Amino acid sequence: MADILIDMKNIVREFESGGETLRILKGIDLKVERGEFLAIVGPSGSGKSTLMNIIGLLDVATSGTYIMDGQNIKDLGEDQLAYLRNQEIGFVFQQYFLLPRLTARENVMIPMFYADMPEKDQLEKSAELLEKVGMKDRMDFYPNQLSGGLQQRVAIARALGTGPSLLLADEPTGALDQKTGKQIIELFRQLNNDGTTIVMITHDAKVASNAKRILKILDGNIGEGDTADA
Amino acid sequence: MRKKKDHRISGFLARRIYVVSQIAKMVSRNIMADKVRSFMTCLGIIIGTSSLIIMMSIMDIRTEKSKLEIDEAGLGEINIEMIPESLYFGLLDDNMRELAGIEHVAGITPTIALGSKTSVRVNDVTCKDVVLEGVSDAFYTCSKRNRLLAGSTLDALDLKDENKVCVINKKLAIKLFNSTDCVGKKIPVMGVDFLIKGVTTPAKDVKDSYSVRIPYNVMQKMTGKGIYGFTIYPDAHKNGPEVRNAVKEYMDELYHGKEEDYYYDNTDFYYLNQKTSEVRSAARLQMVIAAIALLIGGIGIMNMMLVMVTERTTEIGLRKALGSSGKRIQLQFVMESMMLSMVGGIAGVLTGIVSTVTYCLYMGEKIHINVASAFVGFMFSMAVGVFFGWSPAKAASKLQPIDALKGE
Repeated sequence: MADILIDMKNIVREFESGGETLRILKGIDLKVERGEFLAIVGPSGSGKSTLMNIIGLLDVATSGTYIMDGQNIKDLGEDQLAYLRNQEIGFVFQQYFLLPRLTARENVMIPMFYADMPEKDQLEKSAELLEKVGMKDRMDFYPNQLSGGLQQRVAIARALGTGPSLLLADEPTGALDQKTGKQIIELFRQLNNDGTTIVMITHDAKVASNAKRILKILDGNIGEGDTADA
Repeated sequence: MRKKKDHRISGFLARRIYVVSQIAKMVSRNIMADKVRSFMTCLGIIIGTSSLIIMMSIMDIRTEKSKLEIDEAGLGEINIEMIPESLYFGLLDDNMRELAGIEHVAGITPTIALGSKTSVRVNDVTCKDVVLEGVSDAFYTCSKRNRLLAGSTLDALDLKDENKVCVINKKLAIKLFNSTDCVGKKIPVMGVDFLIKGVTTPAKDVKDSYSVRIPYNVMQKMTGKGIYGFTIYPDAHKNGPEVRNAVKEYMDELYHGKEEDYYYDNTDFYYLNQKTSEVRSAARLQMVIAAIALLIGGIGIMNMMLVMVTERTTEIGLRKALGSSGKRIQLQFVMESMMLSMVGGIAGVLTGIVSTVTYCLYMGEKIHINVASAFVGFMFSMAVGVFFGWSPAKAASKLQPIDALKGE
């Protein structure tokens, strides 16, 4: 019996804009098993980021059901959602969203702080993760002192802070050079082998091919791709 | 749900305390991280609180000055003059006691004067046109009309023991002795030597005649005169009318059965009322200014807090996305605004005190701080700061993380 982590049925997301109602997601069905490595590809405006936000509990669907790890999201209270966001989900944003007034290391420590991790452990773990993403020498730099690529790495390290079972990454290699991109994908592969479920948005075919399953999204609808090319 | 390795601190209370202390650390780090923004936020509080303290304190000083002016002019005193010989023996000691016992009366002094001026001669200096009066100790203790320059004034003991002591004024002292340093010397009054106990001068710059004042009972014994005039001092300006009515009642009782107009009331209430209503309207103005200062300060604080929090809506969304509960975010922002408000409040109080002290020293006034305004200013700043730091944060924390991130 497959262990379904993400079970979405008929997910619709509408937005009000200028008096009109826009339907960004038009009834998405999605099943992701625990341990999967899924890539979602699609052109801009297809709704892939919107879908990711709903998966990551950052947004709520207008209608449809979302059952995560056997629990219907609708039934969960604020504190329970916060717990999931903190412990079970790691989100890497396309725009990174690092806090500008904190150092790279302090940024990575934020989710650990919310997990009530003792400060000593926070310092240890954050150093460990930043080393893993190749940021060992610039841990105490501020985001405005770092290039886009380095910021992205910090964002990835932050997402991994509490050892989440689900990693959601929106264009994780977008600002990285070939070599670092490969390192990150390798890191993802390792995590996946160790049991982390990964859902990744990318427009890079080569990157997508590293995943075990590819889904195409177009105009708010999802369809199957193959594991070969997008 | 899969069980996670529990990093968390054990113990419900210990964990709560740990969380709050960690948030406090994070909050102070946040505040120090952007010193300029933090300072700007505090600035509104500092200006509001300090200006409130300065204005209130200065107005207090002004009000006290006005009150002193009233007292120095003797405006609050109630003067009653009786027609000579209208009462057989004049006012007796019992009458004096009863009048002094009226509610809100601080003291009473009879005014016994010779019909004409007398002359005093010391060594080779003769001073004609000296006014000799018999008064009680209240004349000096209850009234600010005269300022003591040397020695001391008549006291109750002088009256009781019928001491042959006198208080002269500066004009006479200079004329007789060329200095005010004449305490202890003796001068002849109506043929009897009186010891100079003290030297006074009028508080207001008025022309006065040469004056010698001795205990009234001594004067009575020496001249055989009765008491046909007295001054009553109310304990506070506002009690003036009440005391005056009570005194009139007493006098009417005393003259019961006799014709009217055996005494008349010299009290200068018109000018007093004018002055006291000035003081009262100044006090009202003070309240209005205080309210305006608080309002402006409050709006300033509100603005700064709202700006600070709305700028950080993205941060709130991010923190939520990383797993902070709405309550924790609110706690963070409440603590931040509390810290900023407290720092601003304390700085404002200190600034207000230092500025007021500087003003007092510069103007040569006695140092006075309106303590109530310091307290009110501080509390008010705290309340406004915390409220307006908290409520937008509360609103933002209720958004979906992605909406806050995009900067709703």
